Amino acid sequence: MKIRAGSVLFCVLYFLLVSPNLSAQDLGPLFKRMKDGIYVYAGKPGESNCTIILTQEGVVLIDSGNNPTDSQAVMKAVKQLTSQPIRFLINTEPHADHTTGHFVFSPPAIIIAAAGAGQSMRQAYNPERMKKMMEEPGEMGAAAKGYRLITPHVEYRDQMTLNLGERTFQLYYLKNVHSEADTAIWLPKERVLFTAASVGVKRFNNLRPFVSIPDTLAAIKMMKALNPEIVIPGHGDPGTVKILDDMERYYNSLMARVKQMAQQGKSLDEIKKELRIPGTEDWEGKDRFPNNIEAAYRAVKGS
Amino acid sequence: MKAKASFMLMAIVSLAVVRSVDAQDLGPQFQKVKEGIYVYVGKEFNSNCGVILTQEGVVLIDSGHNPTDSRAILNAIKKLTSMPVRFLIDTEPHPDHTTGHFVFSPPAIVIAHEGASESMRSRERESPDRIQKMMTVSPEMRAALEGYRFIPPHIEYRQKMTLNVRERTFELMYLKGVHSEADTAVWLAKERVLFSASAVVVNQYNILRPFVTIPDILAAAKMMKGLNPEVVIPGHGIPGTVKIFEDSEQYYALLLDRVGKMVREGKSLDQIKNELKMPEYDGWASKERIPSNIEAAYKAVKGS
Repeated sequence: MKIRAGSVLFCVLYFLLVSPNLSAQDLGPLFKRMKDGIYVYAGKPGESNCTIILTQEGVVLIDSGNNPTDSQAVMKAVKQLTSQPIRFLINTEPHADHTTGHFVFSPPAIIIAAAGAGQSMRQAYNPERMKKMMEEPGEMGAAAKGYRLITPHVEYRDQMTLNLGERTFQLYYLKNVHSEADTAIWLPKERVLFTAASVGVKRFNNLRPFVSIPDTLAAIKMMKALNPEIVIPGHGDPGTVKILDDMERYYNSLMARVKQMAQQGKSLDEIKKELRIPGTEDWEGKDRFPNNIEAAYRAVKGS
Repeated sequence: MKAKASFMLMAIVSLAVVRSVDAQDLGPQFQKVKEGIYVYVGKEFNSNCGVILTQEGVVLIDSGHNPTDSRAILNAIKKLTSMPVRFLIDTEPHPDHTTGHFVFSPPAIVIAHEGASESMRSRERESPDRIQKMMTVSPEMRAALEGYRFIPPHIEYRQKMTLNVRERTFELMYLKGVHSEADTAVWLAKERVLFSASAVVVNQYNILRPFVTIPDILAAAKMMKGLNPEVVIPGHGIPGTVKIFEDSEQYYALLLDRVGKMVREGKSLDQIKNELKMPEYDGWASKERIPSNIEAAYKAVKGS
């Protein structure tokens, strides 16, 4: 009898505190429910995603939204979903469009990122940008009120595991795929994978000079091997492993074509002028295609 | 005026954060090793616990040997600050460092090296009545165990990790094959304070389990000496300086030398165990561990 009463109390408390019966629609048009207790705030076109993950011991966020207005919308949704605190906020990368909103959640949230994220954020910090944002009239100014630069508490190297309540989060450092400190997050029980910005969805990625296509292909291979059911990229609509397949196919075609043209004696400039990759005609971010060719050229030339 | 108000606020905050308490006021087990860094030194080679104050709360290194120690530590923290214990870093997963987790977590986030959680779970499986037995030790122990829950680490890092809590930075380094399945050295670079885990102990023979290797211990000691710490806090034993490493290095060098000579003379492991004497270390505690030390030296000498 004692056990039964305990179980009933537990269930009542669990449903009251952790999991009110809300559908994603109740949270707003940008929210999508991916699995029980896992909600993605899918950014407006081109903007970053942010995910709310409920556990019996509190909330884990993946990134903090593109702008403080997004962070405030996410905070509002969290309050609708649970009365529990946000315990952890995991950064898939340190760039401002994933991290400016830290101040909305931390304290109390503990921020976790790959090593180098703190330094990257401090270097990129522009007080003028934030001052302007706070002075903006309307929603943005209001949302940015109280801004503080909050850098990660925990910076791991290589790999890390976070255990909270019934959930386990495996963090993997992705080398040279997008920023100075990219993290993929894998929930093995739920088979949900956060790929960070290592891949985009029908979108050319911005390949900075230190980004390497072989490293990106290695990251894609590793992430595919996890056999995820749901794939949530840093930017773009969540989907399945097809997101990884599409990007793998694109980078392989790009590498093959650039290699072929380089072997024909064509210069980087000539390749940039002539090269087209079939199947990418409707992709966003075409201004980034030249830096994709540069990265392929570097890989082909072994430099 | 605004500046004055801010100053007043800061002064009030500092009062709330770090109260002026001497280590003596905390109890006989406490030593202050640096500003805001205290060690609860375990009685008779029991495990140590580090209490580190920051402007954002407290960081603990281990949770005390027994729950009675954990309660004494929590009482001391309450005298030192009104801020919460934010993090608890395990230097190893063994019960004499981790049983007291429940006293601090929640709210503390427990951090350890990969494998710590599995190590703790396997001990729980092996002795499911461990806590019940512990309760029979004394009425104090029973009271201290009130509300016991098994709390494995929230965060398990691999190889290296950095923890930033406002003005302090903690570098966590995995020490391979030195004592347990998941040993962590904790280095405060600015303060030059090093928690060396149970890689080395003080005036005591260490227990060298079959997976522990003397070359790994020596490599860990070399790496830690290379950090050039001012204060060294071992997992067990009185805090000191790098001399703690030097003493261990000398001991293991002598042990390896003597075992090596006897192996070359054709002696078996059993003969070495019977005959080997280390009179230089007669004053060290835990002599029952000498055979496991000889076995580890024998493995190192034989390259197995």
